[in-house]
Amino acid sequence: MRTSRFAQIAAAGVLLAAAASAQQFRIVVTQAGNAVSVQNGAQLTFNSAVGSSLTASVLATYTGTGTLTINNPPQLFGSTAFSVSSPAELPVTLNPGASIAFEIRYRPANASAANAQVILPFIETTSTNTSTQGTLQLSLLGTAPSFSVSYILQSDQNIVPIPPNGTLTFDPTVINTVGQAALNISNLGSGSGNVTGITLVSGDAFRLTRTPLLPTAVPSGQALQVVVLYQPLRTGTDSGQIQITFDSGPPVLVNLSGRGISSRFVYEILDSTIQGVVPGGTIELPSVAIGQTSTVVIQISNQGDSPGTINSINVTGTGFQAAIVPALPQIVAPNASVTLTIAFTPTRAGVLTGNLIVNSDRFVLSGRGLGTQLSFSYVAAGSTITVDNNTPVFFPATAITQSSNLLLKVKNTGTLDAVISNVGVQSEGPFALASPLQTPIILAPEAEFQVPLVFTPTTVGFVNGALRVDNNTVNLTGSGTRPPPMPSFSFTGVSAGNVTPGPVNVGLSLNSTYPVAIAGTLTVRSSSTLPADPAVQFSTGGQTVRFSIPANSRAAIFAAQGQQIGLQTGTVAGTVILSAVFSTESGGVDLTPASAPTLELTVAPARPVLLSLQVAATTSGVTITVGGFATTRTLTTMTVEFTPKPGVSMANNRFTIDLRATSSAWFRNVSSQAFGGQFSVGVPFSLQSSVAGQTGAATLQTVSVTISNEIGDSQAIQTTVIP
Amino acid sequence: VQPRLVVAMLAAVLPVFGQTLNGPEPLVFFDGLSKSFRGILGVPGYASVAPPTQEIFDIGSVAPGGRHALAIREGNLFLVLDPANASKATKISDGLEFGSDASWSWSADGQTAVLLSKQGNWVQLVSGLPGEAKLGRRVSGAELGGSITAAAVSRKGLRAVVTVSESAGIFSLGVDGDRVTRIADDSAQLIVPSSSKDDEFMIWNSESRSFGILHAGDSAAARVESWTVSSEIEAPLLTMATARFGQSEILAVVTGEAPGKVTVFDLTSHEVLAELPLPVSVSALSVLGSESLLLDGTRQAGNPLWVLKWSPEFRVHFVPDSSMAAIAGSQGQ
Repeated sequence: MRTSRFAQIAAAGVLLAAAASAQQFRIVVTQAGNAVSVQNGAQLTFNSAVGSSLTASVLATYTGTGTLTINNPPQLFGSTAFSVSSPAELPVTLNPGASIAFEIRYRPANASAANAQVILPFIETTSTNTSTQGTLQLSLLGTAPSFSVSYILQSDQNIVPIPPNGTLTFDPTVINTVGQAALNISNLGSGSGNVTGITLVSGDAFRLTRTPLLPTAVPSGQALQVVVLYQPLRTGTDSGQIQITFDSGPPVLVNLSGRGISSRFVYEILDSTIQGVVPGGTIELPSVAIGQTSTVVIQISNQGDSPGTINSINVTGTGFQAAIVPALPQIVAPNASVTLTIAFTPTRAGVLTGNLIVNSDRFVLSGRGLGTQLSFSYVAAGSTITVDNNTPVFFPATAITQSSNLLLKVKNTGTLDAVISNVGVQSEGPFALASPLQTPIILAPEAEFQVPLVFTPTTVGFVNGALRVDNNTVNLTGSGTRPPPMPSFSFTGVSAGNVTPGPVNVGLSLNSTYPVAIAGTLTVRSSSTLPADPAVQFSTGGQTVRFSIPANSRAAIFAAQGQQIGLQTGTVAGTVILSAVFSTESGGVDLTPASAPTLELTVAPARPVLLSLQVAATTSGVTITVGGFATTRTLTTMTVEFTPKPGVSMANNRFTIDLRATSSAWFRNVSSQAFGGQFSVGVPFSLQSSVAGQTGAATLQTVSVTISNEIGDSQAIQTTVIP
Repeated sequence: VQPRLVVAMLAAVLPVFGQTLNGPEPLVFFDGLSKSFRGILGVPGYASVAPPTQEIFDIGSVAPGGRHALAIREGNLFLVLDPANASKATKISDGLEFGSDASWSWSADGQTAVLLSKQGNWVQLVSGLPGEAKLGRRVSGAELGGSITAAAVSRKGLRAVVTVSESAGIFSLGVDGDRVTRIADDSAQLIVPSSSKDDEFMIWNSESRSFGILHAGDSAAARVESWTVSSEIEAPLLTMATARFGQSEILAVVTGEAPGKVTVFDLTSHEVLAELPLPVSVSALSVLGSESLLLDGTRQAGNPLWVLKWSPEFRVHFVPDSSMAAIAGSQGQ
């Protein structure tokens, strides 16, 4: 700081150097060990605290070539804050290089600026004995700092001066919150001053912030500001003290005062009686039936000495809702109150709990739902497994044809008697009740009963189902594994080997019973070197027929046809082959043995079979029509034998007709394939009677026909002739 | 003893050119399941039902011989030629409405048919078939004094008779329907024409459990023969038909609780020639060719056709119907 003041002096000297008209002196001003050279007429600046003294020594050295005489002491004009000392001996004559010294003292009585002038008259005599009067002149400017302290509260921004030993009083402050005040240290004097220390002497609730690096200069008219914080930790009065020190002058003490305040919420349940509850406590809501709603009103009163703010109200827990809440944030003045309403709508029977959280105050909510509540469990591998929506009842892996049983325990965990009217599995499937349950079942609270369940898989792999207990659904899961092999089977009704062409009845039987119902398909196909006969069909039409074998029985059932199905073996030589496939009726799991037997029926190449004979009279005789079949699809001859009526003589009554050409033509014709080996032969005969007016047909008694092929002759077929 | 003149008769027989060899003549019937005329390919026992034809009717009936048929569609009566192929259907209803409940009785030559509507309580003759089809007058049961229970046309189509319940009478209708004459007081629930004698009809009286042969004249009818059955058949008698059996005539009757049985009588000796259990319920017997009767009833897809055949023996045959079985299969039956 002295460096600064010295610089002021030097600057003044520079500024006023031009004002000196003569340069007879070299002037050096020394102050506090620092010396500076100034011109004659320069201004010297002094800055000192009020009441303190500042002295500058002036040494003027004659730089002329004559002599210089000083007869009188320096004269001071101006402010009395300045004083000047007189040289030791006067008059004094200075030769070139000789000096004269004196001191200037500045002691301000107030902080106002002081001006003065020091004049030292002299006479200079040159070598020519010419004498000239002159003066050594210095202008003096004195300044002094003056500090005052004030503060500004955040709440009102007013500047409040603090008299010496005065007090900075904070607004009442909510505990654990921070109030702050700006502390201004203002330099109201004419000169710069230094603050050397700002110290919180006492007061734990107070803190100083924004304090600069000290010491620090405060120029005239400016202020240094620091911030004082007040954070009460408890309600009541707090005090403290700040000391401010300067480079000159006495320190300033600022007393600090504050009052910690707080809000205090008190909770009460408004019922017929008012019941207080503290955070952590339990708020009981009235019991209510499932789906119905009960409410409780909670009053929140501020019994503290500061307004309290309700920033948040949260309600958690199934069935609990904040029904009526104040607008948030809600400021509650001291001794004021607000209310909120909690609603309870239970979704199940029993005690439900939740939480009410007001700001950080937490309460337990508790309500009791009135109603029935069923819980389900079962025992697997010695452990009780509780069933819920996400946990189905798992049956053990079970082979198709087998069953797994399980007892599902149903317990009423509700608060009222449960009346169970209906227990059953949803839709048809592998899950079923092992035995019927007598309903309704009245189940008191905490009572239980068991549902016997059975799982009878019909398919391989996992399958899901559901058990309904009134409106409760219990998911069921099981897995089926492959069934045991089906017993061997055999065909019944007809034996393998040669069969007479025509319809036969075929059945199918297991060699032993099987535990589940079987569905199957019986298939017939023909194998022949001849064109296939489309008449090889089951009675139901086509070459396949479905059948079923009831559980624990042996014989196949062909729907309405019964235990045997009609089969046409056709009229073409070849092999009719029957085969069967089997599967479980439910689920369709294949049961067909790897080497399932087939039944082969042989329609042998045989002589023709005649089925019908018609004799139709014509104008010239008769036409004989014979129907039949030949499994070889060949015919060679047809033999017709006429038996005349008694008394009629017929010279030639037996005729053999070659059919090979017509037979070959017919059986090669594609249209013949629709009839297999069937044929209809029509042969006209001319027949004349010797009796006038008598038709030829009238002469006939009977007609007998046989038809042959390479194998042999058919049976004879005969008919009586009706004219 | 009167002397007899014995004259030696000579006969000469020779096969002539023109032999034919083909498949059995198709037996044609109306299939109520497919509502079309269809043929039976082959002899029952070795046969199958031909696929349905495209021409669809509500009901129909094939004339004996199978050359033509009558059918009803949307209230109109059609003459169908070559019904196995449904090649040509000609509307002959002439503005009259025909219900789909009509039943039919044909003359043996197929030239005349009588239609009976029990629901409408009327009968109507169709004559001149197939070439000159002519509709006779529609005769209502009210005109006859009651409800018509049965109707039949004589073998050659010269006369039709109807039985009327409330009046317990039998009436004769001229071919054109313009002459209606009460010819008998007999009560009969069923009446069918004789297959061998003109103007003779077989009747069944369920109250007396007796069959009768009625000879119908222009103004009166005479009961030629009657016999009572007791243990031979079970009640009820549902339907009956006559047919030629060699030189004889047979009567087939369907009796008993469904499916019941079919009993075949020799009409000359009244002997029971055959008694066969039926695999299905039968409501009507229709002539099918010369040696079989169609056992007609309500058939379901996947079930065969059933036929009573008497050559070479009396037997009930199934005739597979793969076409309708395929439909049943596609419908998951």
